[in-house]
Amino acid sequence: MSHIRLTQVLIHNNPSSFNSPFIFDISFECVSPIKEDLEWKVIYVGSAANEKNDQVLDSILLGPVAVGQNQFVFEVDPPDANKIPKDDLLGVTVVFLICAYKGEDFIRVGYYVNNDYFEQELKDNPPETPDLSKIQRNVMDDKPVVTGFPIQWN
Amino acid sequence: MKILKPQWVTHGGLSIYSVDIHPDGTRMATGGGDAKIKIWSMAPISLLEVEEDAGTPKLLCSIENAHFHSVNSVKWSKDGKYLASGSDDKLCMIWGLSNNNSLIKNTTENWVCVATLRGHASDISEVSWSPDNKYIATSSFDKTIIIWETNKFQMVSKLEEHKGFVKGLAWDPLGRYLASQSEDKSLIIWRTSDWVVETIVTEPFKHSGNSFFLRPSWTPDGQFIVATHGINNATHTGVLVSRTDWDIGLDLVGHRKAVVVSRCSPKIYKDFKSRDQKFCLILLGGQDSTLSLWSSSSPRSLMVTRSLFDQCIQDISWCSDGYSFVACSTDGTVGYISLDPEEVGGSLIGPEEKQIFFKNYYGDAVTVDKEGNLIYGTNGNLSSAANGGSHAILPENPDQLAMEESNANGVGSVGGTINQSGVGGENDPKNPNSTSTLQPTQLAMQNQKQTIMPGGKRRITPIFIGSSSQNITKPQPVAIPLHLQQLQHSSSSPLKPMEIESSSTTVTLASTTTGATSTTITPTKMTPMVPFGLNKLNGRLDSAVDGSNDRFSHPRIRDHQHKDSNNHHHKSSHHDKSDKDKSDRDDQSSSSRHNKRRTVEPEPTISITSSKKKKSSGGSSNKQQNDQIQQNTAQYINNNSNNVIISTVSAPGFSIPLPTLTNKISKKLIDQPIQTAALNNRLFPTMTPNTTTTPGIGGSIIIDVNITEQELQDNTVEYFSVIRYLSFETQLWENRIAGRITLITGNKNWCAATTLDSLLYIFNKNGTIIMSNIVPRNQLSFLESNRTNHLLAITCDGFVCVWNVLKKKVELSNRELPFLKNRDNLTIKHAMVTEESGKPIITFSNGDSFVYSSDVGEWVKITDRLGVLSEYNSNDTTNTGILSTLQNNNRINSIINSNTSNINNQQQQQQQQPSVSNLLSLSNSESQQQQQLSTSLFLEKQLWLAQVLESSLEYKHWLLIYTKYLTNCCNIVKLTDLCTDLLGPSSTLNLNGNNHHHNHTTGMSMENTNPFSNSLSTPWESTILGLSKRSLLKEILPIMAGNRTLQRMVGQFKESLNAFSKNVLIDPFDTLLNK
Repeated sequence: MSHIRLTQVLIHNNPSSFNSPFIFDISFECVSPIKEDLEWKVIYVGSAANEKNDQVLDSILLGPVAVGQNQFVFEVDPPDANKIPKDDLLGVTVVFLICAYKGEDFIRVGYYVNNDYFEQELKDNPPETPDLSKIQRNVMDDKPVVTGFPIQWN
Repeated sequence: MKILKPQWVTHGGLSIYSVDIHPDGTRMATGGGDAKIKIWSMAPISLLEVEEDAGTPKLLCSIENAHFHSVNSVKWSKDGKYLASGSDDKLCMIWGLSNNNSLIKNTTENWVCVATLRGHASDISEVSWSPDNKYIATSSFDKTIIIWETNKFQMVSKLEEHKGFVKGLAWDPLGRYLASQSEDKSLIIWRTSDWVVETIVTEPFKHSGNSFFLRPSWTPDGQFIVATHGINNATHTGVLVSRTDWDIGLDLVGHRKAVVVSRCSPKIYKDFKSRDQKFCLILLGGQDSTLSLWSSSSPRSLMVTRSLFDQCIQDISWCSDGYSFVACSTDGTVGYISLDPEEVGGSLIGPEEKQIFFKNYYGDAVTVDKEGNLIYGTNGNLSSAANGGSHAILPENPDQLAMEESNANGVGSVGGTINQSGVGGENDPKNPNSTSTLQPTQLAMQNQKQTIMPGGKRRITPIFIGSSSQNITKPQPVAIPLHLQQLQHSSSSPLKPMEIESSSTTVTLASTTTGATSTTITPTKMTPMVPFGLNKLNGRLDSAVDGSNDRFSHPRIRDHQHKDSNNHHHKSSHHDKSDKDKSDRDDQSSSSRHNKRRTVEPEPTISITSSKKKKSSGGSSNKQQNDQIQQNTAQYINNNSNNVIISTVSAPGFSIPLPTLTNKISKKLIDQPIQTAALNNRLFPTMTPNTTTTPGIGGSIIIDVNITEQELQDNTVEYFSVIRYLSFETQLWENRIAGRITLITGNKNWCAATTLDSLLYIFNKNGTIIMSNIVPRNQLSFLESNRTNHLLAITCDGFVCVWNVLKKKVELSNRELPFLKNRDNLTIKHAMVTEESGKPIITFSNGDSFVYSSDVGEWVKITDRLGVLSEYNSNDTTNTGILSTLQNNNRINSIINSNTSNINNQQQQQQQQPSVSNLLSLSNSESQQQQQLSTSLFLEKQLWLAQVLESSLEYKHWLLIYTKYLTNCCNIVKLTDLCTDLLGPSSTLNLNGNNHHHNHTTGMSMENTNPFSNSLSTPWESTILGLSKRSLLKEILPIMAGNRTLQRMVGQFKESLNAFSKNVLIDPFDTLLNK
């Protein structure tokens, strides 16, 4: 948290259908100058039980970062449903927005995500193979869980 | 008495190591083993009803991902603005309340990190703010204590004396000392004036024992330190160490295990029974989990709590009402106790009583203001802490005291401009910029740049919104719902009813530095040399107040660009509009008219490729029209691409555009003080164009030149110029000369004209030729005069000549202009001659000004870009001297340069000079010491420049500032130099080797290197710029006396001054004869 301070994260297009991209609108403040780019990535937790099912939805470099307030929009592809175990597709899971500097993660914002069918009928009787077009994805962006990690900045 | 243990104040069950109540009493901070800092509202703790009200938040803020280990100490600053936290992770962080919304929603208050103090090598055990808020001290297990100043949170000093972990700190409420306790069984008292150890107390601590912290405290009257961990005959005590001589006084006995923390109530009380007796309250917390309350008026403790806590007590904090306090413990809980005055045995004393009380103890050294707060040294002067009090520097002679007094009184008279930034002064919060508002995705998507890196990864460049907008404000007392406010008692609860929400929205200005609302630019009919920021700020203030909020709340980025383009159009159209206005007005009044632009006839051009064209484009020509050329010193850049340079000498690198050729030239010569008018123009551009400020009375002289052609017999064209000299519309004389006049100038005594073929004529006020047929080396581009005798001419290849018309002699002959980088891109903006001595002063388009000093034999550069790095710079708008005018222009110009280049980002390829904003940002990051060096250099330069420009008022002004600055920095060496120079030799008669050493060597440390002892060296001049050096010395001595550490030096000089002044008048041989 020392050189970069995250001030705001907005998630546009929320809720939306499962196959739509995640759009993070991120504002942060750079308190002291940093030389290298920041690396931002979004990880979708496919299955809570198993880390192997985590999907890195996208990863970008951000730079150069000027001292002061900065803002950018990070749009990432939706997760690949095939890589998610069927049982874990619906229900609550987690998506992480992580920023790293020089390869070390220093902040991780986690959001709960709820996947459910739009229609009540399908909610009660879910089909065997999930119908992605009918699943609504809702990110609980009002309750982010922010974790910071100490890293070496220079 | 109320005893409460709020269950909801918890750090996840882990120990709470520190608790501190905010000075306004409405919130408290706790730091715990979970590495978090939590800020709670006090109302739910003290009032049951508020606690039960679900709507009132209890936890105002939880600072989580900040420290990575236990937070050992949290302390609010004395003014309540900041919270400092020290942790096992070796860091101390300073937190301020931000108006921005937190990333995590639903926190009532958003506390952000303002600074991180890195410096310790091990766990920080305690942090403590100095009572005047100028310093913060951190003690650590690395055996050191570090003192930081609170302006930029830079390290001031590192105190290394302890031999073991330093476990606690306490500042003297009077600011003179700092006490620290350590595991090495000692209590060390440090002097804050010079951070030297005052004394080490070890006597009562000679035992082993272990506790996390040893937290001492001072009584509010400063008389005692209550130290912890004392032992007396195998019983654990709290030890009272008295201020006078640091004697061990009483012991507070009773705890069964070591006393770990002592806290004195910040208030002084007066006894109910005997009203005169004042006492303090002391709380001790021990490892035996008991709290004991003591009063200095009673030999037995007032109260002991045994079962409030299960484990060792770690910290106690008094509420500012003096009757309640909070304690925290390793068992992870806090306890709140509130007492009644009867239980305490006394009531608080008022400010007047406090004043009397302190006066009794400390005399005049300590003063108390109306609200009962102690007043600390003025101007943040370190040395003022040393003045007065015990163990401080005492005045050694009555003169010193007298000078100090007169200095204190006369500070105001020296000028409000002095000492704007004292050493260690309190810093204002960073300029509040706009709160960051929502930025629609589309704009961001459009504007952020995206590239693909070689590895296939995307790389985005973020959009820079603005500089840090932390928006730190002083926290207001926490608001509680109205229906609960009536429950407050004045004695037990410290809350005040508040209508204002703690996180109110504030009206702020847009953060962009450029771009103004186009609707409200106040039309300036002046040149755009106008300080850009000044003008636009006015405009934007208006619009912000107007409440045109959509401008600010809407996507700023779009607005930014939009505004810029608007700006451009508006600006140029503006000029056109103002031109018309101006010429209309000109027609109406009978003042001079500048129709040059309109009546230029296209000349057949023979452009020589060797001549370097100026970069000045249409933009600058617009500038010309707006110039007020009503004073005869304002100069305009002439630009005429049609003109031809025919030079007899090859251009050595300078080429200055020649004046445009027209058929009519008109110039007005007035008797008006040059400088104030010019200064008015530049500093107050929003004033209406001053056609009215030129007085009609007195010296309204106009020279009109008419150029006619005549065709001669051999079909060549010959030009004739008719010069008419008009005064109030009546023609005084008329002259007709051959040749085409290009430039004219003059004053009330004479006027000068030069023709195309480089002939210079000078006429007196009746039209008689004073001098004529002077042919400079080349065609002239500038012709200027001062108001008395001097004429300045600058040739197109950059040579300067100055003549004294009265004496008909040359002052300066063909001096080439000084070296300039990028001379191709520069033009001469302004040229003038000083009044007295006729020194030419040239100002270039980049803002640099030069003056030629014949003593030096060279050009002297007046402006100093890097002056912004010093604490003072030439932004001294109250000074109206010539030095400041020139330096102001430079600053204004460079601000404009940097701003215009901000707008025109595309054209910003080569920015030769770093813009002022860049330099300013550099200055912010400079350390104190570097700043000091820059500043003293800067001031010395100013003195020299004032000398060169022969501006005695400014010399004196800067001398005073310089002295004051050196006094503040205690720079004895430089001050000695200065005084020696001003003092001079013991006798001005000893120019012939008779070294009369009367009082020459009294105590002066420079005897050996006395510069005046050798008669062959240059004689000392007793005056500088007409001011007597010794009387200057006399004036600055009292200023230096303001710093008592210099008093010896001041005394010596004063003695010498007195002695020497007498010597000047008396012939030493007289006294011999008369003996």
